[in-house]
Amino acid sequence: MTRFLLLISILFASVANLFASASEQELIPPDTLFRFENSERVEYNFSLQFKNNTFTGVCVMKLMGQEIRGSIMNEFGVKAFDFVYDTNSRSIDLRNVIGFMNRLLVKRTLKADWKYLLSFSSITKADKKRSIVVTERGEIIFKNKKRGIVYKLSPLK
Amino acid sequence: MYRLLLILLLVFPFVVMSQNGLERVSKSEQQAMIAQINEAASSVKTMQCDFEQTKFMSLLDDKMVSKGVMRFKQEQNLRWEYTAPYRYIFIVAGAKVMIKSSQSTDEIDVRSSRLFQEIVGIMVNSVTGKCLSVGSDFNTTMYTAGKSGEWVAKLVPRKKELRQMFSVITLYFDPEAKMITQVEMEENSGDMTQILLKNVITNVGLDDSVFTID
Repeated sequence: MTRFLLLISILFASVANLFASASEQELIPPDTLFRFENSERVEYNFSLQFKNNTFTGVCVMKLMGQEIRGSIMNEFGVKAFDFVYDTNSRSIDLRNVIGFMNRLLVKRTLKADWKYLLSFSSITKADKKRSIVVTERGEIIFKNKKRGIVYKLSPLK
Repeated sequence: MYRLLLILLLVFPFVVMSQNGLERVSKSEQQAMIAQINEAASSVKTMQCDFEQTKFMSLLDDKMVSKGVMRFKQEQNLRWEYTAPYRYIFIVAGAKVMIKSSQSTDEIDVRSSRLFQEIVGIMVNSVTGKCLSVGSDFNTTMYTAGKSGEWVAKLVPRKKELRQMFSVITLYFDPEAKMITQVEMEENSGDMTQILLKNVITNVGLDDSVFTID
């Protein structure tokens, strides 16, 4: 009996450690990834990693009526693209895409990814191609597994 | 009737110029101003200042402000460091570019890309105003600002790659010191980035270690 209880304790401890380390690093995404208050903008450190390339910058978003409008730019303020997401129709429009990203496949991927990210709270079916985790620090890590793209958004304070 | 129309056509452009406070200078005046700016730029061996960058986002009808410090040393050494609300360091040291962001630290040889080389050259030359030189990457038009007397240079990119990013870059110069005080970069989307240079100090000692990643 004692040996059995000891085994259970060891197993529980090892599993507890596993959960403990996971909770320090990753959390199940909350219902709402982005909170907009009083029409104020939200600002994030942003990175997009694809193969061996990393684009870093900032992401600024704002809830304007029924639309979430956002701008992705590098640290110098040079814009990569804008987006407008309609929270009612759950449709997204990309605008002002910088030249080297203005390719059909690139825009199609970005649209699908950002639509997924912004409509996360209303998603009912898991997407095998995409995953989102939120760390304890509030960093959002979004992966497009099919394309090998990793987006990271960390709140700017 | 036709005489009245002719008078209006002759006067109207000048009325427009005065309305936005800028007066275009003559070709000879422009050459003289650029020569003076180049002379002042050549005398700047080192430069350091604070900067405030405001990004006006037309789609969001909002702006984002970031701040930082800049260090420059002849010939091609530049440290552009954002301190708030994000930390980001961009360093040019000769043929090397070093970047430190929240995600990574990278080192790039400027010579690996001609476009990159041009952009870095523009950045370094823009700090002092050397980018106004004839034969540069821009079509330049000089103005004076009526009230302040500032010298204003409007630069329209010549090359397609730069035109995709910016429609026009405006540089403001202190007419006494012939030094840049403000930069405005207008994008085709309607966005604008404004950079104000503050607390400028020139020709003080700057150690080469400033132009390395911490």
